[in-house]
Amino acid sequence: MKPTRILTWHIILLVSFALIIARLGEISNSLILFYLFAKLSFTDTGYFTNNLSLEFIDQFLSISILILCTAIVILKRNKWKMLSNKVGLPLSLAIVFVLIITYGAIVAPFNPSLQFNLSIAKNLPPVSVKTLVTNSGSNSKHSNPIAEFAEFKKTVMREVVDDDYYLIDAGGAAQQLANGTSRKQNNQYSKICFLLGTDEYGRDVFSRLIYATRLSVFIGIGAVIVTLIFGVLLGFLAGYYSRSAGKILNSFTDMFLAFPAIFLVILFLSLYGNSLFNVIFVIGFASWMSLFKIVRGEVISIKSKNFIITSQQLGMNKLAILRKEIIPFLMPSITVNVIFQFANIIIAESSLSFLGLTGNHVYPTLGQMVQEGQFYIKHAWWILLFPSVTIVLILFLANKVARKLQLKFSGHKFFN
Amino acid sequence: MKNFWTIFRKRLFSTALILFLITSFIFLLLRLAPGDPTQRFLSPELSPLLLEKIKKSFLLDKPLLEQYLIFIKNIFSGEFGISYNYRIPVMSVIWNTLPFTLIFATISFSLQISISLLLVFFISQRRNSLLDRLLGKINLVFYSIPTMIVGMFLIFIFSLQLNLLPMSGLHSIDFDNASVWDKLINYSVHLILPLATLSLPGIIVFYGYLRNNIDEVYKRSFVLFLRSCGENEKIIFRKHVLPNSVEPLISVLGTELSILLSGTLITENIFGLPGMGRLIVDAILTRDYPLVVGCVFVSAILVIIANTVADVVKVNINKRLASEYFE
Repeated sequence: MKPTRILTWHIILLVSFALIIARLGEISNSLILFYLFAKLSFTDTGYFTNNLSLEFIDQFLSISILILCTAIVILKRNKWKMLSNKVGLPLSLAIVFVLIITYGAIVAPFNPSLQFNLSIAKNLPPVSVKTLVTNSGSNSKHSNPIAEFAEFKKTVMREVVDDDYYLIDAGGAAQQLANGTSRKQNNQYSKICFLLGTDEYGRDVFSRLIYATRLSVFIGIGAVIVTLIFGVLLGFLAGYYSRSAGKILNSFTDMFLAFPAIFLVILFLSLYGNSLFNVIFVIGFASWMSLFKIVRGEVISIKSKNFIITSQQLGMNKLAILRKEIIPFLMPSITVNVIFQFANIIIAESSLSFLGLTGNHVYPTLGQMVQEGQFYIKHAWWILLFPSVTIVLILFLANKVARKLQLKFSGHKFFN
Repeated sequence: MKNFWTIFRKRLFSTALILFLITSFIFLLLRLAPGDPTQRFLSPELSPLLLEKIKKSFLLDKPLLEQYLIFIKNIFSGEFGISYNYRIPVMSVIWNTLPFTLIFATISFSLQISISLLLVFFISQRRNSLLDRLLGKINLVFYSIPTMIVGMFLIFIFSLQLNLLPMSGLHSIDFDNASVWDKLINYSVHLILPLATLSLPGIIVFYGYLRNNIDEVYKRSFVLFLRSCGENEKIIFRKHVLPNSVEPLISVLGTELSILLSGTLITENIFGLPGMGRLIVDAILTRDYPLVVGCVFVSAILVIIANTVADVVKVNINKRLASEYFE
């Protein structure tokens, strides 16, 4: 038998099945929750809008993507060429990374802003095991569907502060068991492990890290899209009309290149507020210049080629030429540049968050985690270390993938 | 120097236009933004007359167009007005912090260049050895690593774990009654970590560029020719390979300065150093309009000068490029 290489779908299925097995309880609870939610929103008016929160949608999307993705990969694994690529170590790492980000809500063991009782959970070092007390409330028989829904919601998505859900250390557990006089009757004891420790408010760093990575990557992708729109459109205009408008656009770009973009970004954010949309827009807007230069140069060089002139004479309009002729031609260089831009945007976002300029969103970003961690650098290094390592890992993977693509498209290595 | 002025004259018009556009853009952005800088200086209980008075003293009571005309007139006379926070002319505020940032950036820049050149010089004699491959891997992993992470990492190791170097500040508390020699040592001890923080990412990037270029140049046929003539391997490297591989690096240097300026911003914030990066951020956050415009103007001038210098160096190294500028 020949030794088989690892293919893309091997990794996807491995991660998906590992996740399904590890979190079977949570997934089944969530499915029941969604069923109850659907049933209640048909019977009870106002239920839908009252209970629909971002976290709920998040949970729903993660689970449906997990199930759909697994099913599609099983069915299509030999048909789609994309799924049967051979992958090396960095690429497989990148795939695992992307999967963990998309499945985020299931991978993360706790709500990212869930605070355990501070007397025990403050600044726990990594891999510390504690006893968790869960109070399951009244007996599991429910006559009322609304109460049942609330019960399931409580188990699946823990609130920020929850009295029935707290930690005790080893001595406390023994004492409680010996006395038999706990606060409420049906307490359940289970061991939980804080893989990457907890932070100053007793929140699990691992869960926060996953949500933060998601948000950072989301900001990166959003900003890259803004960059693409500005860079490609303006670059095309400047290249196509290189005599008149192109000159003005080019000097306009030189103006943007002339002073550090981070100052412009800080200025904009402090003046116009730092909502998530503003952050994405302004970071994207500050980094379209290199794409502009590339597109403009290439458009000028291919403008006089025969296939463009032919399509002009066939009567295609400008947008059609851009879409059908020029963008496919420029695809390799745009793709590589976009991935490098993505890395730069992650750096920019984390530096901005580090300076405390990107506001508070529902979830933290990686830069905010680094910024929070710097105050505990002496006593709790793990709060700082893991987000930093994640940032470096994202950058490394992005650069590696970009270089792989560059090699594939051009056949030889070159820088920028 | 002759080259510098020729290139500078060529660029003068576009430079002036760019500077004018940038400052006007910033001016409009500041004035059109919601929020009022005078609110910081007044509590709402005080009389509205006082508010009017302060607005008048800040020249904010006039219509926008008139403000803009005054602003342009002031730019041509080199005046940027009086800072709202410091109550002294903007230029003197900037002059207090600019020298530090300039010296800091220059030292870091020369460190980046010299260390990466030395490293390449050292590695070039051991190409494809274990060390070379190891450095290549390290370079790939830490390529474009954010400044703040480097800073935090260095602080953690050198000031917290090993307790060798100070964590922040420019000098220690008992600084004033020390001798000159002690002062110098004190400064340099405090600057080791910030300099390392600012230079390390640059060294990694430059080394990567140089190492790759050298590989490319060694593949060219003139190296083979020189070897067949029996030229010494060291002389081939020093006189032929290195100058040819430095050239693409120099075109990056111009943009490197703007990266350096934003790098100093982060570094100054981590280590609490009195530089222009912190000044700009403070000015923006407290809505000190004249100071923001002044700082932006000065940093734009710095970047433009750096780009011109990079062009001059490029022309001096590769004479063929000169035809672009002196035809």
